[in-house]
Amino acid sequence: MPGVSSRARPRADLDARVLEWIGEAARPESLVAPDGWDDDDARFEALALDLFRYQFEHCEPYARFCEASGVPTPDRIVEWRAIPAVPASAFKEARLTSFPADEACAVFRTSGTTGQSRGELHLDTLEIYEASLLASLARSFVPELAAPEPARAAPRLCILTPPPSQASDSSLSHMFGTLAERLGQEAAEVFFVEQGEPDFARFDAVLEDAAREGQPVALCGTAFAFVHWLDRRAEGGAASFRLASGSRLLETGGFKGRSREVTREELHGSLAKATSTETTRIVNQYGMTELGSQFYDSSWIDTTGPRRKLRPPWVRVRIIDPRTRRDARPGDTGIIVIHDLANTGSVAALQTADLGRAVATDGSPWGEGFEVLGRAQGAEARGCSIAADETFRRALGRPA
Amino acid sequence: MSAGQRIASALSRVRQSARALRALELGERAALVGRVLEAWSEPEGPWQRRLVTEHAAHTGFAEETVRRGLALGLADWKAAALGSAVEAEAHVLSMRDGSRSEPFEATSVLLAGSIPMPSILQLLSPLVVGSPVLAKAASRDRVTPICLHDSLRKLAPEFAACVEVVEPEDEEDARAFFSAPCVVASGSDATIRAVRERLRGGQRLIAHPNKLSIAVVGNRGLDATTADAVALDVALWDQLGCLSPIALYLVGASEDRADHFAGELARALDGLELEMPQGQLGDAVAAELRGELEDARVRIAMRGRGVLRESADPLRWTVVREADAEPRPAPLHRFVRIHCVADEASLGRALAPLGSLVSTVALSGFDKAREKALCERFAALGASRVCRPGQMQRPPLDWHHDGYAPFGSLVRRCDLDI
Repeated sequence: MPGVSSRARPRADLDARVLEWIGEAARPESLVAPDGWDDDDARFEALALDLFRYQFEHCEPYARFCEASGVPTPDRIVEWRAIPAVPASAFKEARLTSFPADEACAVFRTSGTTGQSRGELHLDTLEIYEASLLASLARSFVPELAAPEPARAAPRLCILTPPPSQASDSSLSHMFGTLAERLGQEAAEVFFVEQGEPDFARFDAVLEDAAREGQPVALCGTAFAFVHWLDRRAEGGAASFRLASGSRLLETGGFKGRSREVTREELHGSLAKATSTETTRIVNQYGMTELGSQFYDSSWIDTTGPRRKLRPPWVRVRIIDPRTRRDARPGDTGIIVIHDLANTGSVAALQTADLGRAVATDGSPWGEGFEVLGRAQGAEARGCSIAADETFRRALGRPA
Repeated sequence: MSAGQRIASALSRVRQSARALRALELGERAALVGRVLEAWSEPEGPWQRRLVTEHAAHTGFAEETVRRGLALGLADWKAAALGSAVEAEAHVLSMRDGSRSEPFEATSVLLAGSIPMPSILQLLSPLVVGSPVLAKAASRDRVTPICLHDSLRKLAPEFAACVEVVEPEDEEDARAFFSAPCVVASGSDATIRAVRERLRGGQRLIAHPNKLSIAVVGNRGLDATTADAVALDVALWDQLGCLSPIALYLVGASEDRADHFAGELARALDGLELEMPQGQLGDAVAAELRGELEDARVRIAMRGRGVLRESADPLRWTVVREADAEPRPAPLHRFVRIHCVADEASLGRALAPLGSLVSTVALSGFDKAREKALCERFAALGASRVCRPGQMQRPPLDWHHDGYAPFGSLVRRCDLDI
C-alpha cells in the first residue's frame, strides 16, 4: 500500500529525520531567504505517515481514539490529511506518550485553576522541542539567532512571564528560557515576573535605560500581561518609551476567563504607541502547550504582505469545515487542525478549539499562512437557552 | 421628531389607548384575547401558516420544525384555557372588599430568543389585565410580534391600538422604553442586570433570564416510548429554547441499560431529523458542536466507558452517554448528554451546579412516592414546571413562567385596611 511502511520506524530514526529537517531550516541561508522554508510535501507525507504508525503502535490511548474514529489500523491511512487528529482535550484525559512513563524528562501543563484537570505534554527529550522553537523564533522574530555571534547581535530580552525555575511546567516559560540561554542572557536579568507577580517598575526602568542607551530590546509576554502593563502606565500618565531601532515585541495568548478583553488590533496599537515602534514590529505567537511547534505573525519578515501566521516546513495546518471535517474552501472559516512532526513523543495530529481562516497572499515567497479567529464557542443565534450563555459556563467553572 | 421622542410618543399613545382597554371588564378582555388565541391555535389557520413561512425564513429553523413547534405549543392555548387561567387568579385580578387591583398604565415588553410562544404570551397577557403594551422585538425574531399585531387588527381591533412594536435605537430611546411602570424583560443575565439598573424603585420588573431544562428518568421509563418523547423535546426548536432538555439523568440505571436507552434516543432523533430537519448551522456553532463531539469521542475512547451516537449526516444530532454526572457545556442543536446517577441523593449532587438555572424538568419512570419526592426536590431547586417527556415545549397558558403568576404579576394590588 503506497505511503505506509509495513512496520513502524524506530523512534530514534523518526526523531533523527525531524531533527535533520529542522536543522536544514535553521541554517542561516534558509532562515533569511523568503523562500528558504520551502515546503516539501512528499517529505512531509512520508514522515507524517511513519510517525502516525509509530504513535498508533506505541500510544495506546491514541490507538483507541483512532479506532473510535473509524481507523482500527494504521494501514487504512494513506495520506497525512486522513490521520485522526485528537482534540486538545485528549491531553487532559490521558497521558499521550509514545514512550514509557518513566522516561519523561519534562512535563508541560496547560493553564487552569485548582481542581480543574489540565492538559499535559510529556516529553522524553527536549532536543526536538528546542530545535523547533529556536528555528521558528529565528525565522520570525529573532533573526540574530542565525548570526555568527547571536549573543552580541541580539536585542536585550525583557520577558513578562515567570522564569522556568518558577514555572517548570509552563511551555511558554521554557520557550523564553531557551531563547535567553541561547542568547547568553541571564534569567534573573530578563524575566520580570517574580513568584507570579509582574515587576513592572523594574521592567520600566530597564526599558528606560535601554532607550537612553540606544539598545534594542525584545519585549515578550502574554497579551494579558501586556494589557496590565499598559493599563498601569495609562493610570500613571506615563509617557511613551522611545525604544531603539531594532526593538520588537512578541505577545501570545488570549483573554479566556479574564475580566477584560481587548482586540489584537487595539493591543498592538497601544503597544506601538507605548514603545514608539511600528505595529509591524509586534508579532503575535500562536501556540499551545500540547504542540511542539509555534506559529508567528509574518509582520516582522514580510512587511508588505498580509499579516498571517506562518508555519515551519515540518508542520501542516488545515482549516476544516466542522460539518464535514474536510478542508474548508479557501478563505472560509473552519476549525484549525495541526499536524506537527515535532510532536514525535506524543500525538502529532491535533484538532484545536480555535477557528481560523487561510490567508491568501498572491504567491508571497514567505509562504501562505492563516489567521486565528478565536475560540469555537458558538454565539447562539436563535435561542433563549442559557446553555450557550456565559453564566452557564461560569456555573460549570469554565471560562466564558 | 427625534428617535427618543418617537418612543415616548408611542408610549403616550398606548397609555391613552388604555382608557378603551379598561372600559372593558376583565371577562370581556379575556374573551377578546381568547378569540385571538383560538385563531392562533389552529395549525391550518392563516396565522400559524403565515408565521411558519416568515419565521423559518427569518430565523433559519426548518419550516417543519416551526410548524410542529407552533402546532404543539399553541394547541392548548385556547379561549377556554384562558378563561380558566383568569378565573384561577380572579381573587387577585378583581376588585373586592379589602383590596383593589389596578393594571399598570403601560407595560414595556423586551422580547428575546426566537421561540414564538413566549413572545405571544408576553404580548397578550398584559392586555387581559388591562395594560397596554409597548414591545421591542427580539433581534432574532422580528416577525412574531408583527404577525401577532396584524392578527389583533383583524380579530380584536379594540386591542390593536393597545400594542405598539418599537425599535429603540439609542440611549434616549432606551430611557423612554424603560420608563413604563411595568417592564417585562427576557434575556441573558447581562441584559436583565442592565434593565434592572435602569429602573426606579416604583417600577415593576418581571425578569425572564435565560434558563435550561433537563429530563430525569427512572428505570421504569427506560423504553422506546420515553425515548421518543424525550427526542421530541430535544428536536423541537433545535433544542434552543429554555424549555429544551440539554441533559438526561437516568436514576438507578445500569450502564448497559443506559447505553441501550442512548441507542433508542438516537433512533428517535434520527427519525425526527427526517420529519423536521435541523435548521441552519453557522460556522461558529458548527465548530462548537464538532469540538464537543470530538471531546466526547476522545473521553469515551480513553476512559473505555460511555457511548457516542452521532448522525450519519454530520452534526444533525448527537447523543453522548457520559461515564459520569459532571455537567458539561451544551452546544444545543440536538446535542444531548445522558448521565447515570445511582439514586436521588446523587441526582441532587449532580444538579447542584445547575441550581436556579433549571426551568423545566421532564420526569418519568418512578413510582408515585418517589415522583412526589422528586417534584419537591425540583421545586426547591427553583424549577417552575415538572411535566412528562414530550410535553416540555407545550407549557399550559397558566404556567408560572419563572415562578411568576401569569396575570397577577402584571397588576398592582392595594390592600384597603380601613
